[in-house]
Amino acid sequence: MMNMLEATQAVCRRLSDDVPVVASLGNPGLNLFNAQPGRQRNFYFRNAMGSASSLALGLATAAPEQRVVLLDGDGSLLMNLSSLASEGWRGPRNLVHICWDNRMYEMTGQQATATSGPADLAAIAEGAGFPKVERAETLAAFEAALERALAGDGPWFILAVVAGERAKRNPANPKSATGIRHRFMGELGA
Amino acid sequence: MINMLEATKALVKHLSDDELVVAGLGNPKFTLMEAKDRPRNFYIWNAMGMTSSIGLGVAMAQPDKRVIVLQGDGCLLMNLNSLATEAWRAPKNLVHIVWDNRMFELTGHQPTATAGPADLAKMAEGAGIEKVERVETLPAFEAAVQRALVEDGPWFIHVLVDDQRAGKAPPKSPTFIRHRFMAALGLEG
Repeated sequence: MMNMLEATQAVCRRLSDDVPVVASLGNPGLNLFNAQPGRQRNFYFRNAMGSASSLALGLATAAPEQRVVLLDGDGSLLMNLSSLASEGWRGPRNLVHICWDNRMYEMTGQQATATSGPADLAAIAEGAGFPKVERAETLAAFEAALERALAGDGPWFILAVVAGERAKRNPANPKSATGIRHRFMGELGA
Repeated sequence: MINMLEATKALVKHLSDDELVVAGLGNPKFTLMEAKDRPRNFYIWNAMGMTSSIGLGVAMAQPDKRVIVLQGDGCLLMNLNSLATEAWRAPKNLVHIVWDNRMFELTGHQPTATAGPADLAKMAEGAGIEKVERVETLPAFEAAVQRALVEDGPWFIHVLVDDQRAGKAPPKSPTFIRHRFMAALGLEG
């Protein structure tokens, strides 16, 4: 099974510095920071569980020339499945929605999510109307899907099945939501 | 295309007095009121999106009774999360009927995501609901309902309906509706 940090490192290796990355709270954001601590165009969510996909959709809609990469988690997306229908409908070609699926709320004590049951987020994304849906269970498959997504029109939904490991908390991890926002908007010239 | 009122009338013909019906705000509850008012109808005022969550809770709390949820596409699109919970908890007695008119009819015919590429039946399947039916004619709807009332669920019946507005308002007081519903179940409100 894939490791979320290794897969996040693979994402960072393939992105130029000008691609904005939105990361959901918890492990997705911690791993994004750990994968490349100096990267500036990262928007780290703190606390607003579920909202990363809506923010990334807004950003992709507002900046159609700019590829936007979203790192989401299964627990977070399951709180805001409605955003998938909006993404599928609005259909921004530049949006790459990556969902790490560890089938649990890892940070709060490994409680099981619905994907540990019968829910299949890739199938739900297809039902929502995403034209490009990929499911990856190995790092090699994930990297291949990512390359397609960074080269071709989307919106893309990549479901990455990952292990339930906790990301390391780095003391330098940005904590101020205001600071994160200002840095991100400054980077985008907004 | 199916008319929501005709389909609701067909549905209530197949019901005994035993089933619980939870109807979402707007046309689903107005239509249910017009088709047949009964104490075991729970009409939701204003709490858009919550129909499926309330229906799931009622089905889990009343496992020996069939629970029928009548919800619109706009309402469900606000709370797609509930599909994953329904499929996971999987109460056998739940029959989730979605009237899909592809618009927010009552607020002025604004299109919903099902006017675009979203397919609620596919999303329900993706959520893990095994018994999913998609119907476009009244006979197909009645056949699906008859199966859903006797075979184990949870069921998801996706009904493509026209955009006609329904007429009859249920009682206005949510407190009255709740007390009447709970009393019909022999529960203290």
